[in-house]
Amino acid sequence: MLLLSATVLTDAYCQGVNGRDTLSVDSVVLRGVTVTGKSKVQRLREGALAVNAIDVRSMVSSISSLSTLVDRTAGVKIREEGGVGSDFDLSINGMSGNSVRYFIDGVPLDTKGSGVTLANLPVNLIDHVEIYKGVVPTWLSSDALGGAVNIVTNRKKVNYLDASYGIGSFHTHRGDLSGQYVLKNGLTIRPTVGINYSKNDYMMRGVEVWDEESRKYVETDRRRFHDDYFSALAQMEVGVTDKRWADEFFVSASYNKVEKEIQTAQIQTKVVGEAERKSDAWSISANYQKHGFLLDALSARLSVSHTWDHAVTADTAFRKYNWNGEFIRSSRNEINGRGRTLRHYKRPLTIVRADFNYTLGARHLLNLNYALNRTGNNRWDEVDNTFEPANDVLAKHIIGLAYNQLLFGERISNTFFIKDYINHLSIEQTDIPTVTGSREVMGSNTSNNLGGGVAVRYQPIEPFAVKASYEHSVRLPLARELLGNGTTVYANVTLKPEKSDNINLGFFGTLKDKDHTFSYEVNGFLRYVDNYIQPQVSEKEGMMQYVNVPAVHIKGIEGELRYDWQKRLQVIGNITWQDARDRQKLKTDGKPSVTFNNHVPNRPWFYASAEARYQFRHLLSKHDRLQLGIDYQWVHWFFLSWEGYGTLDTKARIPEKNILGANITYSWHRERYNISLDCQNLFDQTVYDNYKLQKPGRSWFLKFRLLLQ
Amino acid sequence: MKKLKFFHTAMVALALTAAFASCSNDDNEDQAPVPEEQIPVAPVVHYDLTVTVDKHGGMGRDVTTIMQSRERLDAGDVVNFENIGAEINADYTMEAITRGKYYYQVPNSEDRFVKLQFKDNKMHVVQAQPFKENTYNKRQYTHTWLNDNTLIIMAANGNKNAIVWTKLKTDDMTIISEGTLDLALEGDWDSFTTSGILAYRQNDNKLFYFYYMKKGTGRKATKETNFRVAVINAETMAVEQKSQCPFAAEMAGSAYGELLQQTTFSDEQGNLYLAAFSDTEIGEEGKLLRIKAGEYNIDADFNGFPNSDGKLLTTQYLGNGKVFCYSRHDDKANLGTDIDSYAHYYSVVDMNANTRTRMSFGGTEIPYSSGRFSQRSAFNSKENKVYFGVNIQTSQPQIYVYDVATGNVTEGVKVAEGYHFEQIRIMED
Repeated sequence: MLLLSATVLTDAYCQGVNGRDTLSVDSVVLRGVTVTGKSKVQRLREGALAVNAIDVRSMVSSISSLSTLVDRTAGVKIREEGGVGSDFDLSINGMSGNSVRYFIDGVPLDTKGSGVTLANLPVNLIDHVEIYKGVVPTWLSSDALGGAVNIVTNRKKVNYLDASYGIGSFHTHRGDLSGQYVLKNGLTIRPTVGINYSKNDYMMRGVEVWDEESRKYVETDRRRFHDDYFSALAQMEVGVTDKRWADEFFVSASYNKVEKEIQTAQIQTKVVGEAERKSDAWSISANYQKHGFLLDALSARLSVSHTWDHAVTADTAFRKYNWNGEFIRSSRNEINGRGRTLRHYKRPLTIVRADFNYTLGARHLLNLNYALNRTGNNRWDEVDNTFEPANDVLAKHIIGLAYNQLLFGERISNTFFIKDYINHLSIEQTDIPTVTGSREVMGSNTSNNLGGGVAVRYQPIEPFAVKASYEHSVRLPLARELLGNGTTVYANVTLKPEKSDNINLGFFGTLKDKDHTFSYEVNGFLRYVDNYIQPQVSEKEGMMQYVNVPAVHIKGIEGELRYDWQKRLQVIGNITWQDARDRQKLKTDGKPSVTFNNHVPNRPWFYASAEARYQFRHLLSKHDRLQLGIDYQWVHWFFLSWEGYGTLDTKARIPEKNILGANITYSWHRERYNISLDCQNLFDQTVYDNYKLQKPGRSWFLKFRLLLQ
Repeated sequence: MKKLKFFHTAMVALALTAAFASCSNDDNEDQAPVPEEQIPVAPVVHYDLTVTVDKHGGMGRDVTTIMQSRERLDAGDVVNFENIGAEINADYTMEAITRGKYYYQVPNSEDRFVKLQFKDNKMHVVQAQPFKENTYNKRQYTHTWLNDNTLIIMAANGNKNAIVWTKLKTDDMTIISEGTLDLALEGDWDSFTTSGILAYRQNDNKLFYFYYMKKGTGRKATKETNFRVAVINAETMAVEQKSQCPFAAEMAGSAYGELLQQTTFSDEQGNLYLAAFSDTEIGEEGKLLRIKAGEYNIDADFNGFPNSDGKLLTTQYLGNGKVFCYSRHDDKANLGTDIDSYAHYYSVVDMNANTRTRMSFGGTEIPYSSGRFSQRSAFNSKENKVYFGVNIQTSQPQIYVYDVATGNVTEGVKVAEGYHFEQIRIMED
């Protein structure tokens, strides 16, 4: 029962549905003891923290990429620059970029290599995804400012093999394999492989090509011709479970490779035909978990990993391409118009994490965790002899302490937590002290920042509950931001961490009878960001420096409705509105800024999505299933730059997005065999997430999945 | 702003023509009057104002840039940009060449030259020309006009080890010719200045290219102490002479040419002038250097910027040896030397008397202004007035009017507080 209590507490308060906790809950269920009668995903949604939980496992057969699924959830928006493998930016309640951290089973996703993203992870591997908004649980041990995405992988107790292959428009192929095999001696082997390839040769509409006869640029349609993308991820985990000395002990090794051609710069009129990026990453790790670690009431989760990540950007062709695929010889590279570059980035990453839970009776739990994150940034250029190599190292330590309690028969749950962020920097450079501040921060320097928060859930009656959470969060500066890059970015060793006060208030509930289940959730959020770290052009030619500036205040509201009928029909809809305002009162010259309190430009602020699925069972055979699905996404148009200045018809805008998707999935033989056809952008709309960077039009994806277990 | 040199020349010619015609009438009343339609009419001009919204432009910054045309700047409402004017930064840059009615530039696409007209508060593409041989980065090139219809653009290539050029026929924007200068890096130097400064002397059809060489990049870069001058045959583009400034100095605006501010001009005698500066104990000492008419080297004995107390940033020739200058007072301890430091001011140099007078209004020197790059002054030679804007610490941006003939300064319009006031350009309607 102690084990059960600990698990329930961890689950209810911390929403710690990482690998270990999931396993515990599952094992309890397997023994026939139903803890709550609710799915893990449902329990997460009903926790104290503001969190989206996406059940991926039930949709593995029909989806091609995790990012499309995440993009449909409330308060989250993904902006992609193009097709498969394109760069993307995920925002949670209006905060994006470095403000959002990614994890896989509670460990930073970076440990798999910088090329691994939501878009290319094998979906077969994933059980569900947790998206924490603003307030991030301590056990993730992160300096995320705006939120975190935690991908939770399958932790089945049975042997299985899950393999799929899909083929789609624009010469897209995708193969995923994951499995588990337990040898007779108890040794467990978990292989994972994911391969993606796409030519991304979709049609670009209305691009400009030169017509010599009329001596005008005319708009026409042309296919992309230099956007091939390939990614491969292979991972092998070997270990044991349910031993006297360990509930789980695994060592793993992984390899990730990404090759990506570049088709355009930040605007589609700037066409690229030769430049490309490549990355290779090797990783090893060890994970250990044990309930009753030293003490009966203590559980531990320990992990260590090291990643060798090597990325190369090649821009060595002196050519200028156009949308006809033709080029002229140029005396400049394609991306930034300078000399040839073959730039290498080696970023060794070492992560050590320890997470301890101590239960005090059945309703109180203490959580202590520690994380060390040491990142190197070794850069050099093979052909640009003017580039000065740099090798920066930054280590950060994050310590978290949380206390969780259940009161009044679990109708109230509270979580209180504090986090200590320690940034250790060793500075040898002393040049230009007036610019870099190196005189103020001589030699070795350690800065300490405290964060913390509280999360409360109260459920007075069954279909109605209230939850509120607050965190004073901190993001420590990255190596590049602190130490510069040795050439074009000055160091600023006096840089302060970004800080934000994040507040969430929501209510939710579920109404249920025999056939119908109706869930609702409404959340309001506030984000007060300060000391925002952003680049500022310095006074010398082409030089930059990261500086702290007052940032933005964001407020917003989001709502989601879910309806289920006999587990046959599911209808989900959500809508998000947010208002981000510039809070920089003074311009750099010290005078009042005209944009003070204006809406911050170039970010989606009003969007919604809806989806409906219907299942037919036992259609052709006893254990078959046919699922029809439809999904819809809408994003209100938004300005590229500050609204209100200049006449409306001259202002650049990212147009409204209005797309419909549909899919059909047929599974038979108890879901051993699955085949699906998915259509994105059914009506072939011209869609943009960024200014003049077109996304693919209508695309099809046919997928076959085999699940042996 | 290069346009202003030619606009001024045109205005001087126009004034001389008008004066000559007037005298003729006085001298010989029997002479048949010139038909009205044959009398040259000075073009009607307006002023294009540019502000940035989020932060200062220039230096390669991508910022929200709004332009607005005004018929006059000496009176009127406060200039505001709320729902007025055009946002241009999505496709174009603030850095541009202007002449007559038109703007010329390499736009954000960096694949073409464009000829633009800002009309009815909107930017219109008049003609484009894709790159053919030489390619250029937006914002990073220098230019000069050989005549009303021939523009030459020049910049270092991507590796910065050669200087490429393109001659454009601007009525239809066709490329006349392109090539690479016969200039090579010397010694251990591994790169040229990004743009350099290009000027044209009509009397002997020579181009003067001002440049220097560097080693390394970024904060560890080193550079030549004395900039160089290449004299180029404007017809053949052959480098005919090379020399070096006789003292330590660097040209103003070496990375961005004269796309934001004017740093070269010629006087009535054909002397060519260049804004420059030297590193000294006080900071950067502004200099106005000269190449005498018919000569090819920097005049070692001439400095047209007397009593320099800091860096010389822009120059505008007003005729009769007078130059309207914008410079910085290099007093790092008290005023600062950053882009936004309130340390910049306008003055008028009289090269004949070797004097320099700071602009005053109502008997008081106009306070220091912030903003280093860009040119907030325009010379209307028809009116013989300079319109210049200041961004002083204690009040909203203000445009003043300097009457060249009388030396009087009067107040013009104000610009609404909160914007980064960047440019005044005088354009034909």
